[in-house]
Amino acid sequence: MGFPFAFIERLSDFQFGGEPIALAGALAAGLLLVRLRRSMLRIKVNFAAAALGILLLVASVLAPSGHVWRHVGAILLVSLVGALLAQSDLVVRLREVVWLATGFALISLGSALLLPRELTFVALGSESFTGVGIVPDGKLVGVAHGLSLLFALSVVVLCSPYECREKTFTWRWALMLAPSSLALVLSNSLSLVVGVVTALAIIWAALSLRKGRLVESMLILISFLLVAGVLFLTTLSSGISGRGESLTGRLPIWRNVLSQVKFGLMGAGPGQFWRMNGSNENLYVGGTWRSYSTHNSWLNVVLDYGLVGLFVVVGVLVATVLVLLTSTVSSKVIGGGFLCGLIVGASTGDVILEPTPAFAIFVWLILETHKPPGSPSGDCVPWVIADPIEGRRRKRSEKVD
Amino acid sequence: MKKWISRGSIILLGLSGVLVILQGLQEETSVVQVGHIQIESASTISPSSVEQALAGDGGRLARYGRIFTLSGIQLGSQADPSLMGRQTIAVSAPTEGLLELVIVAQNEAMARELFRLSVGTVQERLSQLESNVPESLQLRASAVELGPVREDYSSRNARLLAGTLLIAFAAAMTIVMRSHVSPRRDWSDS
Repeated sequence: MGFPFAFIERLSDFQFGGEPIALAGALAAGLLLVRLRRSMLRIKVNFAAAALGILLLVASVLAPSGHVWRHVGAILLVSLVGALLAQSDLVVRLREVVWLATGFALISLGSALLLPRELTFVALGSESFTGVGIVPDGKLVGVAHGLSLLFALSVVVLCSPYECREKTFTWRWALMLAPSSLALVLSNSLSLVVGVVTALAIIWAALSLRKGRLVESMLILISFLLVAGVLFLTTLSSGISGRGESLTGRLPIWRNVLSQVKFGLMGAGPGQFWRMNGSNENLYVGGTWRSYSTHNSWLNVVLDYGLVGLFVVVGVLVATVLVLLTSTVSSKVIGGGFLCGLIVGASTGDVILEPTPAFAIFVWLILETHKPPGSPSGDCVPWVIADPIEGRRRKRSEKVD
Repeated sequence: MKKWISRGSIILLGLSGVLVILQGLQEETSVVQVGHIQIESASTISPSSVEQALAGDGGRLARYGRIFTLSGIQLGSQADPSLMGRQTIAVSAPTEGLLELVIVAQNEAMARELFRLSVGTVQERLSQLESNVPESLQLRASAVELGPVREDYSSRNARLLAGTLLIAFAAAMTIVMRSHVSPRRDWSDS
């Protein structure tokens, strides 16, 4: 199966309208059923889960726009994509990511440079946060967030010890890293760039820790924290292209939500907080957007699912990160590191329990924790081994041998 | 020994989470009110094009709105010292000449006083920005309305969030420690 990052982004467009969600949902559910082994479907729980998924998708299509079922269906759809991604070995998927990211980055950069703006889906614009680009102060306009995620994951994979542990420098490595890095910087997603740096710091620190170099590991983390702290304070105090001071209009919204909303154990329901009460519009005062979101996943979770929801989400994420980072399989450590980067990115965007590509990655990496450890060659044992029926068969055959 | 240290840390983490949540639940709340200030000039220009709008009142208001939004408005030194400290006011982009302010105060009376002072501060800021504009064309600020009183939950919410995060961390670490024992193996799978 290919890696459908470029198309996942469009799912968010179907969040509250139209029949495309039905078609996409049916396709995703169908693909998932096809991918699941027959033996897995024989297990009643798996079959019930698949059936329930399809039912929820149908219900979401029939629900009116903005309704809770519509939101649940869209989230479920993205979760199905995450489950599909988890059907193959993580190592294989990460290799696919690197190749696809290189391809998409070259297409994006090439089309931005060569084609007229109206003929391409990306173009060189202005107001980059870095000011670094092919043209001065340029950025890739119109690159979907899903593509930016693809570039980010590719950079993490290429710069982690998994790819270049025993290699010093190869032209192929450089040629793959350059387009993805450039496209990531030009895509103008500051939180993703910070996420990539976070992920790399954590992956390298985990590697040092595993090798027993505690001091080196601590040094990596402390230097990262120092640099990140200085950069954050600089951004807030001076502002980069108007992003500072209010984090592009986010800070006033967060301040209003924190001061005017009484957080409770239970929230308003999936995607319902901004729709349940018209006076909630006041919470956007001073902010840049009025778009049914706080642009902070943690606040979104509290508002929609309450403190209980936040507890569950944080618990699952922390457990996933710990399991992945302490894994003996390096691809899982990379996954854990990237998850940390996404957690950083979630602080400034709609990522968790939202119909976005990033949530598909969350689901994918969470499912990776349930796979058995990989063989020395690196390819994980097929997921079917988790199936009790297959497991019992295997045990029996081993006894006979 | 290591096991007991890690168990102790987790218990400490969980207990501190519970303590922070309890503190948050007992927190005293202040009030929040949203106020509106109208900004208008003596000569209203009705623009017929975007360029004219940017050059006229609309353009000036949009630019000033951005300045106010980015920097917020701090109450001036002429304000009552007892009111100083907590009040930073967010202002929306006033394309229709309407500023929105979020006022945090200890009670409703203080919020009204802060609103009155804020109108003066906005007027003062406008006068500084418009020092080169003829007086007849200068923009002026006037109070329109102060919205209903709402309680300020910022401190309570912050403590509840922090407590929940601490307990979630403790719970996750407990689950992982119990279920996931990673064998010592080489870093290799490529």
